[in-house]
Amino acid sequence: MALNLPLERVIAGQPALWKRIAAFLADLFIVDSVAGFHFQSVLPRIAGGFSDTAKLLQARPDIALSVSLVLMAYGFLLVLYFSILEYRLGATLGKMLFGIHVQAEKPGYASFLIRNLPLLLVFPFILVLILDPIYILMRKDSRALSEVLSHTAAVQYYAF
Amino acid sequence: MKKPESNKWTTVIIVLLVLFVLGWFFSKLIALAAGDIETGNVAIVPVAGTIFTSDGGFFEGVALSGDIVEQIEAADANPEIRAIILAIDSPGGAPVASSEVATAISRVNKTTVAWIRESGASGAYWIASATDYIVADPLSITGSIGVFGSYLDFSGLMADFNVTYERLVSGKYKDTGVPFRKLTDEERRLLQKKIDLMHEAFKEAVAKNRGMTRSEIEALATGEFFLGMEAKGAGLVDELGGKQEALGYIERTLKISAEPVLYQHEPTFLEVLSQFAASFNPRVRVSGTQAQLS
Repeated sequence: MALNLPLERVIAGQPALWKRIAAFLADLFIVDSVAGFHFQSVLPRIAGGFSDTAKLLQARPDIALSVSLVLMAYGFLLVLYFSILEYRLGATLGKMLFGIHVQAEKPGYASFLIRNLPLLLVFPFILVLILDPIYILMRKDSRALSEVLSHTAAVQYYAF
Repeated sequence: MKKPESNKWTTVIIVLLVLFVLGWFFSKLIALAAGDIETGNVAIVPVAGTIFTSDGGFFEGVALSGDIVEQIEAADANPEIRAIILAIDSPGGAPVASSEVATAISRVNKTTVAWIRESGASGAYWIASATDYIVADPLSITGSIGVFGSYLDFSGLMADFNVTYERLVSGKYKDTGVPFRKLTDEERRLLQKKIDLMHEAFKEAVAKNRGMTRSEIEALATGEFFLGMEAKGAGLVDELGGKQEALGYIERTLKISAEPVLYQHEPTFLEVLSQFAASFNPRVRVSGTQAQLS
């Protein structure tokens, strides 16, 4: 007589920090490859990194407007990418790659939008982005501030 | 319920396509709003018009020394810029304004070239002499190493109209050079002395910048202007040509492919308004003639 025991038990736990960072970098790379390169025609040096952009701004204050607009547009695209994929599929491409999923307490797009608003890179949302890593390191459940505010969490499924 | 795999990848592809289209759309929008940003490794800083420290009015062709210095310093601070070309088209200007720009260019730690176009005379030549290399067209007007403080004397005209100048001064030289009375011999000597001092400073600066001896500069600093072809023979210009020759010198010296980018002060809307308003204001001169390098 066969016992009616579950074959597999799945629990959701905290993903490793390195996986979250790696997934985020992978997502940035994807967005940059798909949409970011368009901005090189208006701002050739922004792709060179923050230090190059800072030097460029210092030397050419006249381009501050372009830099602001590019950053805003870039932020908007990041929010779209992260929020839509997390809402529709539960994970972005980078998160899929590292087996991370996003869960929300309440159904609906709003939670995912709020979770990713800090990526807009404008005040006051950027403050949340700055505090996110501190929250991940300080909290027992490793949730970022943006996750606490949006009632969401990045999880990894562990099967037994 | 788990989404079918095909639906999942359809969603991913749609999102990426939307991002691609939006990225393109935003970049075009930003280019329209802010303009494409030119980059390069050679800054071209225009010095066009008479050189002054402050603006004389809305419609005058004035090169403000402060604006030019600002552009030179910005180009010097930009690590991408390897050399600076001063595109000079100026008959000269005020001594302090010319000296300010010349000092700024001599402080630059990058290769500097003067490209003299229609004219680069007097104060503009002072500025050009502070660069590492001077390129001028064979027909450019250059040189003119001298100072003038000449002005119109209206005292005769005023007398014809029975207008008198009521002299009220404290300090006997305070109204030296006002155009409403004749200069005394003493005042004339005084003004000439100041002009000579300015001329000396001008000659010294050019001699130092161009590596000339005292006798060489004395022979050239008569106030005479030289055409480019004459200036080349006299050692005031290094090469005859134009922009390509200026860029060619930079490419040879730095062994780079020169990509010029314009560094020019763009007046803000407020600046344009204030200039417009200033053009209606009467200018008050306290006393004395205004010396000009010529």
